[in-house]
Amino acid sequence: MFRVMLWGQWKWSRLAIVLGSVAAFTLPILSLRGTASPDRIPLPPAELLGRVGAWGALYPILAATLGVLVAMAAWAPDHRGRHVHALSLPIPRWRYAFYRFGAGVVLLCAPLTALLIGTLLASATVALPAGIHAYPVALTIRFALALLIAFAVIFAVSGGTARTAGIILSFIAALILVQVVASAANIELDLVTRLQTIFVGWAGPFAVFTGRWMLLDV
Amino acid sequence: MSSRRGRLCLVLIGLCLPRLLPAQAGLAPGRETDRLTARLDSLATLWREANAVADMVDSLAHRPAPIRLDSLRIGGLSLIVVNAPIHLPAAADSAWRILDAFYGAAAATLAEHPYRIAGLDSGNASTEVAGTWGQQVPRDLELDRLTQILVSSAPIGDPDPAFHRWLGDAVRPAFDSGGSLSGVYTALVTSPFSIAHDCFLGDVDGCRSALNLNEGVGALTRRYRTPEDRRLLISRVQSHFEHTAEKVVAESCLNGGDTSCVQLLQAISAGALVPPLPPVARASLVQFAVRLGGREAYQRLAASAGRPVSERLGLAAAMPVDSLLRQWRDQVIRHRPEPVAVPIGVVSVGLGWIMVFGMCGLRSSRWRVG
Repeated sequence: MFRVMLWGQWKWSRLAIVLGSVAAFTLPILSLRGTASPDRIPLPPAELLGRVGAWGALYPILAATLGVLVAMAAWAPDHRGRHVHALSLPIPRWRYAFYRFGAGVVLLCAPLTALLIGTLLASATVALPAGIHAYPVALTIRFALALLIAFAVIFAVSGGTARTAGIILSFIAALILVQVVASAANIELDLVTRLQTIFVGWAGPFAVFTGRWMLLDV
Repeated sequence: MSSRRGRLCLVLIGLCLPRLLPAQAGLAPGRETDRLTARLDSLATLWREANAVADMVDSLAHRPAPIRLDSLRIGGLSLIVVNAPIHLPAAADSAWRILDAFYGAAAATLAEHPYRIAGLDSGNASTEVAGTWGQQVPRDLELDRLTQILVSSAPIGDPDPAFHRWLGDAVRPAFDSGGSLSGVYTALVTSPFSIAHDCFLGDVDGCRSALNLNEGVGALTRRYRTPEDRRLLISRVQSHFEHTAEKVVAESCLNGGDTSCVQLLQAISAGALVPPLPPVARASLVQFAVRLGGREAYQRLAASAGRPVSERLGLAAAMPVDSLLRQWRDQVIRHRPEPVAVPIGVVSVGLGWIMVFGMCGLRSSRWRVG
C-alpha cells in the first residue's frame, strides 16, 4: 500500500520535486560560479565569502518552498475527493496519515540528494584559499532539517479539518490585532519580538531557518 | 516672546523715545534724516541687546534644579556620578581589575582622573537633569556593557605620536580577547593581500610585514609583495592620482605594468596605504605583548618612545619580537571562529519538532468529524 501511495504522491508533486532537485543541484554550483575556473584570477577571500553568503539566503527559501508544496500536494487529492477513497481503505486513520507522511519524506530525499551532490561537486572544483573550508555535509544537514520542518508543519495543518486551520489562522489574526491595538494605545506590549523568540529562538521550530547558510567559511 | 522679554523691550524703548522726540525740531531735512537713522540704528542695537538679556533670563528661568553629584572610589578608580547606573559599583570593580592587570603600576594614575558618569532613565526628565554632563549611559545598562565602557574610556593609554600612528588608537586592554582574536583569525584568512595569508600559514616575517612592523627601504615591497597585491593597492587608492601627474602611471599599473606600481608605491603617503590587516590585529598584538610582559610591560612600552615599534613590543613582552609574533600567531590560530557546522543541539531540536508536527498530522480529527 505504501508503494501505491508513494506512486500517487509522486504523480501529484513531481513537478515541484523535479524543479526543486534541479534548483538544489545548481544553487551551490552557481554560488561558486566564476571562482572555479583555474585560468581566472581567484576572488579575494572576503569577496568569495560575501558571494557565498549572498547566495546562502536562497537555501532556506528553497527548503521552505519545497516542504510546503510537497506537504500540500500530499493532501490535495484527499481534500478534492472528500476523503472517500481514504475511508474505503481497511486501515486506521493514523496509519494512512503515516504513509502519506513517509511518502512525502521519501520524495523529499531527491532534492536533498541533489543538494549533497551539488555542494560536493562545487566544493571539489573550486581552489579554496588557505583558511577557507567547504561545509557541504553541514549545509545539506541544515537544508534537510529546514525542509522536513516546513513539510511537517504544513502536513499537520493541511491534514487537519478546515476548523483546525481556521483556529490557527484566527489565533494568528488575533495576535496581530492585539499588537496593533496595543501599539495604537501606546501600551508597551511587544508580541512580535516574543513570538520571534519563541519560533526562531534556539529551541524554536524555525530556528534552523536562521543562522548562516554558508557552503564556504573560515 | 515671553512676557518678561516683552516688558524688558518696552522699558528700553520707553527710555530711548524721550531722547529721540525733542531732536526732531530745528534741523535741515537731510541731516535730520541721517541723525534719526543713526538713532534708529542705535535703537535696533539696543533691541538686540535686550533680546539677548531676555533670552538669558528665560534660560535661567527654565534651568533645572542643581544636579546632585556623588563621588565614588572603587578600587583605584575615581568616579563622579549623577543618577548612578544600577550596576556601576560592580562594573567599576570589574573594570579596575582589568585595568590594573593591564597597565600595572601605571594604573595608579587613574585615581587622579575621575570618570564623569551620568545615568539616564528611560523618561525625559532624567535626560534633562543630566544635560550634556559627563558620559551618559542608560541607568539600567547591563554589567558587561558598562564594564566595557569604563575599560575603553579609561583616561590612560594614549601612546606617543609614533606609536599612535602605527596602532591607530590608544593602548587598551581587550575586554573580550577571545572574540577579538577570532576577528584577527578571520582577517588573516580574508585579507585581500597575500602577506596576511603568509602570516596565517606560519611565516613570522610575513606577520611582521602584515602588521606594518617592517620599516626602512623595501618595507613596502615586502608588505605588498606580489604584483597582484600592488595592483590591488593602487586600485584602492586610485582617486589619489586622479588630478596629478601620476595618473598615467597609475593607469599603466592597473593595466599590468608592475614597474609603475612599484614607482607609485613610493609616492603614496603612509596614511593613504591600505594595511593588509585591520587595526584590531595590531591592537591584539599590543595586548598580547603587554599580557606576556607582566605588570611592568605597559610602563616599558611607554618608556621606550623613539625606538622602532617592533623593538618596543619586544621590550614590552620581554622577549625577541620574532618569538612574540610566533606566539601571537599561534594564539590567533587557536581562536579559530566556530565553523558553520550544525551543532548537535540544533539537530536534536529540529528532529524533535519534526516528530511533534508529524504526530499532530497523524492525530488529525478529519475522519471523526466526517
